[in-house]
Amino acid sequence: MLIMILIFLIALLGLGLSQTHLLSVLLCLEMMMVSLYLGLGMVSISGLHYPLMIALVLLTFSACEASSGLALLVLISRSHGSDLLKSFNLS
Amino acid sequence: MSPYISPLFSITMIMSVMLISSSGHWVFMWLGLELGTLAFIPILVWWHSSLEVEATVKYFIVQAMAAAVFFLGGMVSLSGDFMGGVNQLMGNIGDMMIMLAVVTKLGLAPFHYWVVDVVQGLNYIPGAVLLTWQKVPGLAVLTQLATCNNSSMLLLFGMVSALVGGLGGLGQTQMRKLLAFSSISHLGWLVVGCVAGSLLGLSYFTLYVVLSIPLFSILHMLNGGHLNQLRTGLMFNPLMSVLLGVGFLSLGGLPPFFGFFGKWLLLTHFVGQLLLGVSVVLITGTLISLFYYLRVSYLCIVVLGPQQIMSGLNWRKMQLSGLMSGLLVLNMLGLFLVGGASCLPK
Repeated sequence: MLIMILIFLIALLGLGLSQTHLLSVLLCLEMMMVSLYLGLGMVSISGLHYPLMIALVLLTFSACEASSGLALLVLISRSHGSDLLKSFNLS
Repeated sequence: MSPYISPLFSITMIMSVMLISSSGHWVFMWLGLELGTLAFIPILVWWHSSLEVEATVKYFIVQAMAAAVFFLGGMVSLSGDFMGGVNQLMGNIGDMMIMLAVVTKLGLAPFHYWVVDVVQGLNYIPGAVLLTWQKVPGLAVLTQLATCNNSSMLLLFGMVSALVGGLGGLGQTQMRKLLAFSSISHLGWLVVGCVAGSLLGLSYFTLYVVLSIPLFSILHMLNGGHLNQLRTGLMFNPLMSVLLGVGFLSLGGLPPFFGFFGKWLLLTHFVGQLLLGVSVVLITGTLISLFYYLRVSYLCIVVLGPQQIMSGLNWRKMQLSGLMSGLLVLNMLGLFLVGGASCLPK
């Protein structure tokens, strides 16, 4: 459980500190989701069983989130020419 | 994008709120929040302009991160259920994580930075949906979470966001940013109302929606992002300028208008519950925010546009749509409502 929380925090830190590509931000989001999936597995090993059903829901929704993130990546590379975070207009 | 697909997204957004408010388990709350976010993203990028796409990317990243933290909090409190001695501590940490994630999703004060940037990039209509309807899922979670452990922290967030909403809008000349800061300030009141009693929060939210949707639609018709453009757009439309000015004064909560009614309702309740310090801070924040409301309404009502000739304007031929006349009547109703409510038996 602690390992999973550590992975999650590393991914969160990476999300906060990534300054080059949007793709790496999306990868960090996906890493957070996968660490949550891992944590649900760990919780269900140690006694409870309904987290396994939650894990399916989590997997489905993280896939939806990743796909909409990739769609936004395509949109931003079409409108800005690249997915560099520097090209954003941080007004 | 095909317009026939838009009912799908709006129905999903409505269903997400129903899912949250009818469930007591955190997984379904997470599901509802995710559904609401994912269904709102195609509406945000409807016109595919580059600013919109950027704003949507910012919105998406913040919301996805907050959703992940929400799930982590739920799982920490879940794993605390069978870990023996540290049960209570884990449960508290999990509740705190969930609350911080929901506060980030709503855009309350210490986590409000994304709201201003996102609203600045959007058109007025998606911005209005973002500032009104998208608050509902988060508020529905907060009203279920507001137990005695968290309520003092939520009160603190509410007070800080009333102050920040007032201070942040002081130097702004962009209409969308002004509206975003005004929404942050109102959200502070709303959260304190939700902590004090969920029905009060609901009524204040209804009032904010009723007041701000006509303003957003008038600004959408005028289609100006800057205060100067606003004045130019209002040049041949004196009726609309009066309505806009009165609407902004009402949103700021000046006494003769409708916006005062909600603030009065909340304040009487807070003073009854002896939340005196909270109400003083909220009033101070609103007083600061009244400065920029007054500036906008001064610009709308008092100042003339460049080369404006009043004689050419025919006041009789102004078209008063149902929306605007409704706004005018509503704004004038405020004092009657206050009088009627104060006559009610305690």
